[in-house]
Amino acid sequence: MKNALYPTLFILIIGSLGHFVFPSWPWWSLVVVAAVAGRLFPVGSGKGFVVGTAAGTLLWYGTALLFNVANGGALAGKVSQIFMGYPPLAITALLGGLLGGFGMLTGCLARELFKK
Amino acid sequence: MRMIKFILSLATTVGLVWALQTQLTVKDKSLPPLGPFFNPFTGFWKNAEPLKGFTPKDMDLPGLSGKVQVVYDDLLVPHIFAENANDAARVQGYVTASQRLWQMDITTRKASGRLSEVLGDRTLAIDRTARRRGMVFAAENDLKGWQTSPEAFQLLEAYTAGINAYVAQLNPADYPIEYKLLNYAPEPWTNLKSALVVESMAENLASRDDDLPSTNALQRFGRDTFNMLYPEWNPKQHPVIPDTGQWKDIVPNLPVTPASTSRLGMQSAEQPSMPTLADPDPYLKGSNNWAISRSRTQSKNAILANDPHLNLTLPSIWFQVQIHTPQQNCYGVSLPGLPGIVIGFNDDVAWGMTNVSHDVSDWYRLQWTDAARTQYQYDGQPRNVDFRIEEIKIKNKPALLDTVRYTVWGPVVFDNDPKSELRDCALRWITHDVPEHNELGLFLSMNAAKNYADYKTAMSGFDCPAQNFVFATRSGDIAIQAQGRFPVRAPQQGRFIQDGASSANAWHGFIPQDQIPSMKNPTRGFVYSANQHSTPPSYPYYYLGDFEDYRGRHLYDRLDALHDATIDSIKTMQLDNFSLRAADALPLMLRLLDRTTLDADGRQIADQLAAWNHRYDADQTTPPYYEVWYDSCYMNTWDEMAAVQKTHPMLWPEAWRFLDLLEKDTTNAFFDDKRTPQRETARDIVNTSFREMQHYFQSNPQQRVAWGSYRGFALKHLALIDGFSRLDLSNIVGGQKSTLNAISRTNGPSWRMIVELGDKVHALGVYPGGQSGNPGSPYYDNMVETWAKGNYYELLLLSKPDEVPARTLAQQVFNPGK
Repeated sequence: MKNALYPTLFILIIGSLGHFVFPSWPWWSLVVVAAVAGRLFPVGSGKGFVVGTAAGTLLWYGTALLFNVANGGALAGKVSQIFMGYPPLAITALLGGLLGGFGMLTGCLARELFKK
Repeated sequence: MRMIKFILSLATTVGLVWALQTQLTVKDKSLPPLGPFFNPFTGFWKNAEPLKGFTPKDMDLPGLSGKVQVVYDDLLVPHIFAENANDAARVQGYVTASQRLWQMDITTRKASGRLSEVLGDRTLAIDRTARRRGMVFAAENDLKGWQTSPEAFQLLEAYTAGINAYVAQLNPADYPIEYKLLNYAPEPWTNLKSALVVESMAENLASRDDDLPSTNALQRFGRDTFNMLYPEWNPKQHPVIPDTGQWKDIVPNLPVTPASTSRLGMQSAEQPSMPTLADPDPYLKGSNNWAISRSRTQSKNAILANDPHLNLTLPSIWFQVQIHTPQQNCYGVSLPGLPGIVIGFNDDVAWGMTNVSHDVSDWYRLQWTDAARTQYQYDGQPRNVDFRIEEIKIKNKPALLDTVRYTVWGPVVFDNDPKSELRDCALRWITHDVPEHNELGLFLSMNAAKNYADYKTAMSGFDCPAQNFVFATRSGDIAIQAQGRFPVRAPQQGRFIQDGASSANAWHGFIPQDQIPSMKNPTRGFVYSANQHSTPPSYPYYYLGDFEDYRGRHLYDRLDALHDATIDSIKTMQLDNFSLRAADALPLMLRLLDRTTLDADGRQIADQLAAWNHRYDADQTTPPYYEVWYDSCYMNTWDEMAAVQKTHPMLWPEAWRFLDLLEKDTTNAFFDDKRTPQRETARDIVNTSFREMQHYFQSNPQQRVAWGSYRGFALKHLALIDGFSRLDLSNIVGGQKSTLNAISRTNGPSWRMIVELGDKVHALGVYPGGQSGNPGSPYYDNMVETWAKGNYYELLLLSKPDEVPARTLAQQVFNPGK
């Protein structure tokens, strides 16, 4: 459990703070943060994928949720019409999960390359 | 093995990022790149503004000479308190951009034919038309003219700098949502773009002409029938300015032998298609303004009202603002992209505008001297064409180079379309001219005006698009003036396509400023306009245009009957859904209707129509029957036009003329339906049309609905994004294009304003939208329902920043930068 906690916290904290400290961070920074987490923390690649997915989902969904609650869901309702009715919160969570998961998996596999 | 796994995972990850960065097209719909758009730190979630608490940051703004304080009221209207006009303009630029940046960008892109640069080749036709009509050429000329008034030009430069200070501090995460959706980035503002905002209004309001349809109709029907069908003056009409003998000494300066306007140069056209004219919405007319003198108001203060009607969009065309400096204190609506206030009031005066609707665009047929069309005949000599190369950039494609021929008259707009009947014609359009004045100067002077003399001085600096400027003062003066640059024409000149080979066919100069129609303090106690004729035929200068014939008469009747007027009684006039046109037409139609031939359903409809009060309220069920019946009568009568309209655009008789014939000339040859062997009269047309109407509603029972739903009403987002539009208002919005509350499916009152000029000015206003251009803001469409239900807001003309704390939402301070 513990070895899942540190990479999760790492992704959440660096993944969010980075955007505030460096406003020009690219949108795909989550991939790099998750990969670094996978490289740094000793987690197996299968577990790493799960942890990365969970952390990525949490980071993107949670942040979007904060905006959405303050906005009363108004903009999300309008944007969902552009995306054929799919709820933007769900799309956001899905994309965060994918990027976090594959990012961390790649990081874990990179660490395993050097293991011996 | 580990290496393979790693490479596979890396490839998947990179592929995922690449896919999420790509702009998608799903079923014809263009979607933004998903990754950047949904990233909650940089994407659209950043545009989801909190419902509560607007917290603008204090700023350093380089170029300011002193501190500027901005108070936002509870409608998000910025009240700018500055030490001088330059500082105010700079901050106005900044705060306007902070609410409306994308709107400003897309409006000027459309005007200048630069949409394809960001939207791809689907907008190429729009871009080419804008370029070929010379929109950029016109804006460049505007700038040349504007530079001659350095004071006003300085304000424009400060305003532009203010916008650019806002643009410069934006991170991609802060971009308005439309940039993220359409996947492009904001660019700096320029003075040229401000000129394009003016040109965009000119395109909307002063680009209408009927040269080709009139020429076709004259050729088809001959002079006598043409004159019978299309008289220019309706004797029942009240013009904006009546004849009080003020013109008796004016003699237009025309050549002794008038130019050969009969030489049409019309070709034996058998071309099969319509010209691809940017079609101005024929229902655009709807604006009203009036001022009432003390003699007719309860409070003994002058009252001014204005409701300019335009194509309604979100974000709204107008942006409310107050500008307070030691020299002026003015409130009103501005056009995003222009400094100052366009329609508004200050402590001493109020003013409003409607479109004058004169025709200021003419077509001249050219005689080419060579096959390559590099020269044309002009006063017996070949004359070289000037080529202007328009480079239209296209997203993801090579740019298109379009060559436009310019003649002494103007651009040859349609020579790229071999099917166009105007392909060999040049466009002479007043808005292409270098203006004699800085048109922004008018608004800046009006903002600071204190009395009638200031108004008259301000007026003299405005060329295009010509407007009926209504005016009232606290001291009780009322006035109106049809201000613009008007060509001096020989009688009928410009009604038809003219011969471009002779300079004698050119306009004969312009009407001198002191002979432009105007009126001050008439004894009747009111001045008004509603897009009707400016003057009666006794005005010495010939003009033509696209005038409205019913609202003006109805407005006159209401004003004439008005005594002890209050702000509330003025509201009922702006919201008036009574149609004089229907009141004129329906009795004529019912008189000719043979009830004995009707079935039970028909008799019931006829009874309902006979009992109708001619009001187009949203919940009325009768108007749809009348509309279909009337349209059917009109179309069946003018089948002669419909038959050739597709190949040769025809001029259609005005409604009042049609009703004239229906009343007095029921056996006119045009009532005969050429498709049938027998000879029809008006009676046949009316009865046949009634049966067609009945048949229409029998086969479309879903159309038997109340007027609002039948007409429909859409407040569309500028990029036509449904989610950002308001499409839910049909059943509460009343009105029709011939009522004072003139509303069609997409047009209507873009701003309703009433100002009572007492010791303390009392002003109401509302527009269908909100101050914010961000669909994620609670201020995006917060005024829409108020507008739709016919309610108003109290407008705050503050004398100091903290005057009304109860309505203060936030404060923002701009300091001079280091």
